[in-house]
Amino acid sequence: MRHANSSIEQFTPAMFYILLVLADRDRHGYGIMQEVMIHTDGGVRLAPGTLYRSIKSLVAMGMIVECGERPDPELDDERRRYYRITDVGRHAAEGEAERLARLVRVAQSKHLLLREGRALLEGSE
Amino acid sequence: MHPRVRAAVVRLSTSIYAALLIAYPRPFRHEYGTQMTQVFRTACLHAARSEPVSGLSRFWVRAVYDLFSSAFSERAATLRGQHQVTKHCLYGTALAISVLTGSIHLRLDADGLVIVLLIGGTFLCGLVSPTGAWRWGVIAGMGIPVALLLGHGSDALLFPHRDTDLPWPIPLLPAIIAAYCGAALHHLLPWSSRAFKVDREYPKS
Repeated sequence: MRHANSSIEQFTPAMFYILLVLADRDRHGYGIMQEVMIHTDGGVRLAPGTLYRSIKSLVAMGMIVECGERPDPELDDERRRYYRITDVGRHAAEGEAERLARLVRVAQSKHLLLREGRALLEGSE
Repeated sequence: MHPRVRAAVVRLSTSIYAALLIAYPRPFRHEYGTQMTQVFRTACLHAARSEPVSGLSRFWVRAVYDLFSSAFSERAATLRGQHQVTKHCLYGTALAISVLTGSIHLRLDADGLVIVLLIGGTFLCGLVSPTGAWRWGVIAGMGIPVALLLGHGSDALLFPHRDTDLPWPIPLLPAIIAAYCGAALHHLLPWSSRAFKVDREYPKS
């Protein structure tokens, strides 16, 4: 998927994962890595290179920003940078989530969704 | 693993990783190098705690693969930014090939050099900008007939003045074929031209 704000940068799955985990709260790099791993049951492990290349692209596209506030300044390492999703990023994540939902519906209609997937869908409804 | 040994392994791993970051372009390293090293250190510590040998090995393999693949992509992206080739630039290159091949053909007996310049140049133009590749062949290929016309008059276009001269449309053919060979390679192996981008061929935002 090409995003309207950039003719060069691609909206990759790693970027979507980052937007997903930033949707509810600000996080630092390692926090994002951990959260992505938890959300995907360990299936996706973002390594530092992919993580920061994606962060760089998302910042350039205006989808996330570095924020100065820290959730817990006294307990946290001050060298850590926290990232926050912007309205543009939220809009892009919503669009991508809808696109994926439509694909899942098509897969369901063609009986391509396995029992586990159906259970997940029913559980979320 | 003893905590002291583990700390030493993590410290050494982090130092090696920090040194390997040289694979990234300098601006990227400057912006994210410290963060990446910090994230690597925390993840490495976590891997060393959970599975000291196998976990750490798997972690290293993943980290090195990720480092080099993302560094390559970042360098390619930087190169794309630096080498934005415009259509004007390509027209200029084709014209330069045309003038050069024409002058060499007229003044020197270096047909090998002329062929390499003509075919190599138009091939590269076609590779960078495949749309309308015939233009690069026509512009570059016209150099020799024009030079013959200017140097020896209109007769030279039809009647060879040297053994190696051919009627005027002939030099155009290899140039056009070479340009289309470049265009074909562009479509067959997109990565071969990924370092360049031509302004009008990328979707506008």
